[in-house]
Amino acid sequence: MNELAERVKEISDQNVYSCYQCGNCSAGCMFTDEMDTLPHQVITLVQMEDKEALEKNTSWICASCFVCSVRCPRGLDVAAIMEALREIKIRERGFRKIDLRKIKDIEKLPQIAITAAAQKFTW
Amino acid sequence: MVIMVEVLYYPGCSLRNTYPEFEKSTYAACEKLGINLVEIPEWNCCGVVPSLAADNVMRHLGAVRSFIKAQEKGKEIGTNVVVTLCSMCYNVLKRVNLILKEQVDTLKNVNDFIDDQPDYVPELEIVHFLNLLKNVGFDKVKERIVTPLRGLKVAPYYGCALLRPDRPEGVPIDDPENPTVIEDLIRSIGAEPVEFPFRTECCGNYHIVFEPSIVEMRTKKIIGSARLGKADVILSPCPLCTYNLQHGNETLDRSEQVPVVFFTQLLALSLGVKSHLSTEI
Repeated sequence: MNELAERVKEISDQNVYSCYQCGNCSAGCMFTDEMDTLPHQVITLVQMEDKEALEKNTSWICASCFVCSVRCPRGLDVAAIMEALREIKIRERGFRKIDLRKIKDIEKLPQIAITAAAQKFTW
Repeated sequence: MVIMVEVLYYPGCSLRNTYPEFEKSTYAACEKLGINLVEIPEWNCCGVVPSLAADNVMRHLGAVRSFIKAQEKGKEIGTNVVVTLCSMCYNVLKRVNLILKEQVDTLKNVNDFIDDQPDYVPELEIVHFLNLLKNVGFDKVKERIVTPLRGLKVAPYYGCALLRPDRPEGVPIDDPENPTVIEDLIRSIGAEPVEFPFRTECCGNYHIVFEPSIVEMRTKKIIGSARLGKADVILSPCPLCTYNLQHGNETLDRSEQVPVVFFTQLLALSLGVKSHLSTEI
């Protein structure tokens, strides 16, 4: 197992080598319009130890809706792999607060939206 | 009304601040149905999104602190069932509780960390209000309906958090790909569920905070799908989905909008409580 895949496994408990590139995750994903690389392609990058996997916007667009994880025929929790990629970046760069001044309609937004965004983008 | 069921109740932040009508309509419906909700004392934020990182248990702590309060209150009133309304709270509480039941090390870890409270013994059961209704029986709900909402076409929107992920086992309140529990509720209150292929799709979640365009893309599709089914109203179980769908509505022409209400608002209305719907609907 390569180092990047090892790190992903450590954080997410998912083995990217289980993926056989059927593309089911990308087919079901509702956010692919916004992604520069499809989820199954990002997993290929990790399999090949291509650090580009960490630079793609895919893991940041993923909203953890878990359609991919429910449908993966190999039983991979794809959303957890995306979270692992986010976490690798976040842990490298260190803890950072979200900038509340950049939030439009902060008074109107339900707290769960702001807390969820803070959890996903800053940890 | 004779109390048939007494359970612990976890309200969550959004019901208290953004959508009080969700909670008020639930209390009103429960009174009619003989369900007694006992609020967990000193509950706090659930954390909203549980950690997907196996090595990050910090994010479980918010949920566990509320579990400890629930556990102590539960001993007083003799129940281990915790009911939630908000989908996101349900998802977090359910998952964290199941993880703590499965993983002895994680349980010890969080209990050691929270050293100012009694230890959590993972014996609580987390139940979503829809499943509480299902357990009470939709036929029993139907018996108590005084104003059947005949002719009202309702789009049952599930979103993500009630149906996914499917592990740890037991998180989804129904079949993740083909759920029926909201349809069953709609039928029991005399209304008609519409076919609605986007009912289990994601609304865009927390992207509303920094990338609202993503939410707009998602919610326009969901609302459009409900409109194709000729829905009069979209029934939502989640405060964030509701906010996002309403945001989507605001970007559409009035003729293309579909109003969004919480499932308990229609339930309360059909049980004869009139005060929890806005006048537009």
